[in-house]
Amino acid sequence: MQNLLELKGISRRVSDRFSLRDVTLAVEPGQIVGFVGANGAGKTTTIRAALGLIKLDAGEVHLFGQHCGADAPDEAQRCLHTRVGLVLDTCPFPSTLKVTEVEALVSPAYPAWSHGTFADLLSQFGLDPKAKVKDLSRGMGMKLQLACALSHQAKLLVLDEATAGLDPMAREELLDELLAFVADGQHSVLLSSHITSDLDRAADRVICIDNGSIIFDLPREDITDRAGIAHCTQAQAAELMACVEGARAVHHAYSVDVLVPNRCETLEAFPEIPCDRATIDDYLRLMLKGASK
Amino acid sequence: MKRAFMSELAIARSLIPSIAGVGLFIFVVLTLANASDGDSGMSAGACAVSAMSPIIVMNSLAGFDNQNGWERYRATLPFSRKDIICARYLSVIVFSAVMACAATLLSIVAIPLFNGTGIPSTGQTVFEIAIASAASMLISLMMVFLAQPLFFRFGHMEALRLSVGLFALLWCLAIAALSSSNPISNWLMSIAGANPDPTVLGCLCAGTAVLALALCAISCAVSTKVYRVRDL
Repeated sequence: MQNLLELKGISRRVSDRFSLRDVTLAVEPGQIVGFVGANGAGKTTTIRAALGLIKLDAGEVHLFGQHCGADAPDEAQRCLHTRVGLVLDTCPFPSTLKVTEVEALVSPAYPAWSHGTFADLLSQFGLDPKAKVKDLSRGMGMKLQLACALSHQAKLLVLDEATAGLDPMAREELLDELLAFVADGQHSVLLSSHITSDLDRAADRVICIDNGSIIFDLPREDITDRAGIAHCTQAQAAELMACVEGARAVHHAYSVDVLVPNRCETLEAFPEIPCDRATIDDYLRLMLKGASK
Repeated sequence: MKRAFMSELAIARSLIPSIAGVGLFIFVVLTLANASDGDSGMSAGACAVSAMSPIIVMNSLAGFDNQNGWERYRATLPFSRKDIICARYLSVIVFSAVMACAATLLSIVAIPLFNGTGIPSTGQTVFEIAIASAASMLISLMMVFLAQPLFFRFGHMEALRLSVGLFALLWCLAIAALSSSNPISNWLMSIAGANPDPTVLGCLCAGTAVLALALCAISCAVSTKVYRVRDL
């Protein structure tokens, strides 16, 4: 099936110290794709590029199979953006507007806007239609954006750090909504976050970016089910690093953590070395900070 | 463009109570203070409201753009950047026209209250108030059209600083152009002096409207060009 979002080798020099370099990623139908990385790694810049908010020095952006970058024709951008819903880390609506006025602000943009769906979602999320945007909590602001994103039959949801600052209950509710959204296999979510525990539960793929370059792009199972963290002595770590392709090590005061791509194979080959399952957090930490052989 | 305009109106509508409140206050103060000057003084309140509305609405809408990342979010909605720019210009014009009409009507309605000070409720007085109010709005709109590309290029705060400089420069040029030794000033005074012919006033106002329209088209084109290349 056609990818809902595809970035092909996009590059953009943002400042003297930061550039996006040859970023390639794809969001397939029915997937929740986790987009992780440290603060300032390039997650938001990549999303801005995907949404045509910044010009590119190189590469292409395809939305729903059609070319859609900042340089795409107005009509194409207009048409393709009707099928994208966006949720940002801060509620982007003018603070003096009421929740009902936000509908008047956003709904004219979407031919397929459903007032009934929006009203239902407000009720489901416990949002007071008379409340002003400035009086909404962070979680409520996120829910208001989500209500807008889900009221116009979006095919692709893009969430940029939407879970940052949310309490665990609100994050749980958001993840439930996202899982329901992709359940039919036609819709997809690109979820940028540095809270990797959200992705342990919901993501189908995990893409990591660091310093403007993609570090890895893997199915979630390859990280949480297949990969492992071996807890070794210095000598064991040296042996493991020499034998296992793609292993990465982080040295502590009295031990060494070694990331191995295949936990079962490692346990078979080195039964004396304890090897736990890796979380996305572990994987990310070792991929970004660990030393390879 | 219609969709972008509808969206813009949702914000502009929320500005009405505060701007109308300030406008009413200014209207009352200026009308009471100047009514003793006769029918020209009577139009002071309406002129002030008509002149301030375009600048206030431009600033307010630009302020909302830079609040909470609304500008970036709006750019992800299915509007082209040209739609966004055209909708902004249209909103400023419509809002200014509504405020100018309201101020003019209020001024006309208030005339009978000042009959005692010698202001006649004649068609001539009403016409003069309407023309003065329209001219004020148009001149103010022209200032807005000059400044608007700065707002789309540099964002609200930076553009505010730059536009103050721009307006100060324009003010100096206007004073120089209207000084008594200037032929333009002499010509204007000869055709629209103490007792101007209504036809001449109408023509002057229509000429200002044409000028404002041309400036609007140029400004809109420049804004679209600078906004298209801007990273959001």
